[in-house]
Amino acid sequence: MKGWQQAHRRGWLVAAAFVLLGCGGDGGGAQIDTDAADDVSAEVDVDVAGSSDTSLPADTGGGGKGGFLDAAGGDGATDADVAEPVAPPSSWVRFPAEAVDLDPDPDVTRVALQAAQLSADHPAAEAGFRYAYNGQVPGPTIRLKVGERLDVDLSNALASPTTIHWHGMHVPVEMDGTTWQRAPIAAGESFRYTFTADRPGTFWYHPHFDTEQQVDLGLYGMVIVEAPAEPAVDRDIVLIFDTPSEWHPEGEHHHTVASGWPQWRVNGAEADGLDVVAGERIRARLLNASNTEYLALEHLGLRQLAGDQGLYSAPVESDAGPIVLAPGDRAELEWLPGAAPLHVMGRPYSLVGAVPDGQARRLVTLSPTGNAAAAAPAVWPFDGALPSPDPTYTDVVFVFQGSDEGGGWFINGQVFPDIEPIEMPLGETVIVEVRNLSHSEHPFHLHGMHVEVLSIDGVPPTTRRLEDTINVGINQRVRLQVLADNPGEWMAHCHILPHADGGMMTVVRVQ
Amino acid sequence: MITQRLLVAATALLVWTSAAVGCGSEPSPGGDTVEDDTVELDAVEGDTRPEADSADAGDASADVDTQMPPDTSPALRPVTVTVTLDEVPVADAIVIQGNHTRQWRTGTDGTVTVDVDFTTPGDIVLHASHPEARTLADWLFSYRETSTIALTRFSSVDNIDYRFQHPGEPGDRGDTSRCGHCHTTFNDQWVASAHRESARNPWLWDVYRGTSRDDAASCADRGGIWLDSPPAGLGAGGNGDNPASCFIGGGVLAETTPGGCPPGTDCSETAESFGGCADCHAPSIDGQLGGRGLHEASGIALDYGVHCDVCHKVESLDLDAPAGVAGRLGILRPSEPSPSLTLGVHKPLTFGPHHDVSNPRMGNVQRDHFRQAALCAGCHEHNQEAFAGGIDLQRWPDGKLPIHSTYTEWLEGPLSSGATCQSCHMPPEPTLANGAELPPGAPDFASTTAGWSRPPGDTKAHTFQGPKTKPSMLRDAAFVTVSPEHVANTLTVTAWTQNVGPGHAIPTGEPMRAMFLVVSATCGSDGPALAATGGDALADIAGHDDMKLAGDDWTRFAGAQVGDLVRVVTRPGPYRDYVGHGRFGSVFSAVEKGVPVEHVAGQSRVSAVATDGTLTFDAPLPPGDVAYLARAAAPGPEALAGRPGIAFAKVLTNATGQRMVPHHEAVDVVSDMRLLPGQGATSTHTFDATGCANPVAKARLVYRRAPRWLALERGWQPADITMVEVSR
Repeated sequence: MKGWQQAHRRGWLVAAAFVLLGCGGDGGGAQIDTDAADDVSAEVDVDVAGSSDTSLPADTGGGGKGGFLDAAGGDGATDADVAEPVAPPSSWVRFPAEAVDLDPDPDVTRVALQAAQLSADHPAAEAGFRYAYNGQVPGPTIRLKVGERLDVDLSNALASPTTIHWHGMHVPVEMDGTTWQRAPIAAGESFRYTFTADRPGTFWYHPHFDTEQQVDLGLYGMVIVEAPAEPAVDRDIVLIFDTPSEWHPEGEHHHTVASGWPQWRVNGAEADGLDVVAGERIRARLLNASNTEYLALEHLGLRQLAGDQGLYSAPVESDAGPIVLAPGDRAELEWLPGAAPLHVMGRPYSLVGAVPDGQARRLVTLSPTGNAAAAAPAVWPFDGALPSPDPTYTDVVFVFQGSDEGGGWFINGQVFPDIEPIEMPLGETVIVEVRNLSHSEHPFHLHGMHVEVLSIDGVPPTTRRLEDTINVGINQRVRLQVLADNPGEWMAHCHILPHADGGMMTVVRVQ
Repeated sequence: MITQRLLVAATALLVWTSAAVGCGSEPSPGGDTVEDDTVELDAVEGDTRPEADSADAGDASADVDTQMPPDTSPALRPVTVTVTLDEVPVADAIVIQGNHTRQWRTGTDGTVTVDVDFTTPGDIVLHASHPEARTLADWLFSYRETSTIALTRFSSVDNIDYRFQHPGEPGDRGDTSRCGHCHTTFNDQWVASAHRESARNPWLWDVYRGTSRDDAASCADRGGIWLDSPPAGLGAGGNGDNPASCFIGGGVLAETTPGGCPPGTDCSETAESFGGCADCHAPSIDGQLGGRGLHEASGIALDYGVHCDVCHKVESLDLDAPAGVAGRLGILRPSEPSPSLTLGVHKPLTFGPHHDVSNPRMGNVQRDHFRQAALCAGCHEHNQEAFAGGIDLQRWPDGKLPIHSTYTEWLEGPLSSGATCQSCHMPPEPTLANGAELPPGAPDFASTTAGWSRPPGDTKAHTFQGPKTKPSMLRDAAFVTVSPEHVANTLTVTAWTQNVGPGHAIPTGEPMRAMFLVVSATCGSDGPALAATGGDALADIAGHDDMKLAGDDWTRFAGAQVGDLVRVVTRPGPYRDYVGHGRFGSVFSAVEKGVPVEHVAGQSRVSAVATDGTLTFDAPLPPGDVAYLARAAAPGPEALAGRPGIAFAKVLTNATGQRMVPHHEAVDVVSDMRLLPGQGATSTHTFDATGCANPVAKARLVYRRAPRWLALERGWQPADITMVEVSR
């Protein structure tokens, strides 16, 4: 062992001891009153925090709830390799208010959204955000059922143009919110987005104009499309993770110089506790809305129900390692808390392949009330379908190239908007191969359609995975199947937003 | 906070204790806080701390703790830095704090006020970097308002007496005079790279001195001359450890000797040119740089090829000068005597990408070109005069042939706007925070000796990724798709081959390389092959055992035996008007681009060979313009000429018209149908699908490192490498 290694090891030991002695945490803080979720205002008022959390529970002393275990000590808390004991939560997750349906027609959901700048004294501004939909970060959660038509009246109260892209949803191309072939919504103007939700899943919405800045400043929200046959749960919650203040006017790419642990915000605020009831079933819908940071999370008994595009064909149970949500990725988890707290841990993650710096840290702790045993998993309508076979040919290839140093981010050697659209015949099933020859990971996002993952580096998935945002590791090959059933010219790009704004974006023409 | 500072101090002590016995055998850190604003240079320039023993270092740590600003002070504190060069304040010196990326530049008075972060992990050090001086440092053991760093201009005269330093290799990393002693990861990576092998590649030596890979027995069979101890003037040969070789003739030395030179004869004195091989393949032959013969390579120059002390002696670039150390790479070897025997005979001088390397063992000077593609152009771009025969000056007005054009292929391609050579061929090294083995997550241990913690992705691997590294860059270089159409009894296969990976052409570099798309069809995925009936055919450069043109006697092929195939192609007329590199792009006509369209006509198998050599075939040979013999059991790379497919290569010819020759023989580049960055090519092929309900089209893109004829001549065994394989 080299000298520095010895010193390094001793240093960590001392540091860990220091933490043990010095950190206590007094717990407490605000937490969600889940019953208040329906009692929300639909008013578009930038000065009003739109959070549905307006009440505090009687017992806010996190340290007194269930006892907090040293994660390394096990006892059901987590199997994460953490250097520090997990302290009680100090602040509680609040949930974004849900959008109010302004249309009495049961087959139509109409929502009003206003994009506007936040006042400086707004709580979300203190968390690093500057823009909001309806004055809340995240924006209102839009919940509807498969087959419903969604009308969204967007008024742009920003000083600059904007759009809304319905990330992951099959919308007509003119409703997709991109500015390829279309103008954005000018400042002071309004636009109605209208389309029918054709498949269940956890989707999200965000601007696709000046995307890197506008998303970073707080313009995003979740869309939940429910299927009629899905089982009831006690709670269906939204957890949107974000790392604000990534955008820099100089165009500096934050992730390449960042080190240490990102400052994750949960639902727009710094929060690390989630009040739960022992024995309840929770369907947690997670979104990574960060511009650049990857979310690698794990906890004991992790059970993933769905990815981007609704339920998988079978659940993915992943005690072996973290699930990774790249920017733009979603996942649905089933949480079945018992009497013990459950620590959802985040692993440091380097998208440039560096050895993770540091230990797992708590993202959020499920802090249970009551002593009931954990519920049995719900009976989800997994269809059990096998992944489609990976054929021996490829129709279309996307190659990611470039680097921060060189200053260019390419797809197939082209930098948006100087691109030649990639053709996909309408109605055809197209085999796509995405290769990453750059030295950064890239989440590949296709608009207007979804993809089925056929294989990653030749290995097929264990379950049939339908996604719209799929991470491609360094030197990795991801093979996908696309049913080109939505005519139009669709963006396909890396969802690391500085990469996309730096040119790593192209167009798929379906005709 | 106090505890943390003690930890920093303790770890600093550990690092320096380690350094004293390992990589950091330089003078130990100062025992005292620097009192004077002006840093006094001690015996070792670059280390501006007063010399002290390890006990003093411990005291220094204590001083650091007690003399640091109070915890309540702001993290950033202004320090006015004055940089002098040869005792004169100098403008445009870069000032940078260790562990940080922000840079300041001195004004005309030589000063600049910088914000020093006193909370930064590791040593608090300011560096001054100037293009004419070795980088120096000033340690801020406590807050001072001012700092002066006195730089000394290095000699700009290349020292011919300097001896290139041994790079070290695993198991033999010696002391700190060897780069690999401290830079172990880089050393491991480089040792496994093609750069390390550049001077001892056996094929290189075969082409240089006319040898083959035969042993003594097979040498005689080939008619060669086996020499256990070749003349010294023929050099040490491939790998350098076994000079015994089979001399079969040809090669650079013989072919540049007027009147020739018998195999095995020392013709190093009579050769009129050494071909410039050593200027890139063995650039560290001590003494005069440039114009040296490869046979002069020995020791470090032979064993280690393109190594640390060559690349990091590149002070400047002149892209108009001859390749390699003959001028394009401006090598500067130090002249100043070393201030310490531990640092070698001469005062270390190393050029690199960073402004903040002030370790005196390095003698670092920053140069931007280490992050620029132009550095690679030092050798990966080579226009060459003909060594044997004349060049058609109408075709090549500057009298030179574009032999290696990798750099300009990139420069004129789309990736030049955003990805350098280094972006792909020197990927980030994820296990290191810097090149001195500092691991990620250990910024507390950063120091002048251990180096500074750099942002993720900033430390570049020295693997020099290429076809032979893992993953092979061949894997992702190309995209191939096939579109079969089955109508009546004919399967028509349209194939698309595209360069989708590199920023340069494929294949690139050495023009002996070629890439062939081989198309076939079977009835069912594993059924019998369908006969090719038409469409694009692979040209002669794909390899054959004999070739006949229309008008030749097609009943006799040299060496043909029962079971061999004769493939016939037609030349229906036009030449391919492809868009190639350089003059093959916009200057040459289709005819001048030199690739006639060739279509498959059919093939027959030899069923009998008469005593007079007349062949009988299993079916009459179809009419055509060219017939290629493919031996059924021939050694060497597969004979593919005449098969359905398309060939991608730069084709050099010699004075006799032979194609795909080594570049020292070349008098012309007759075609260059390689795929430029992003470029694709369509080929069409037909097969007889009579009686087959489910024909399957197949395509295989193969990479060949040397032409078949040369591999057979020299006893090489270049296995074709499959880059892409598809079926549909």
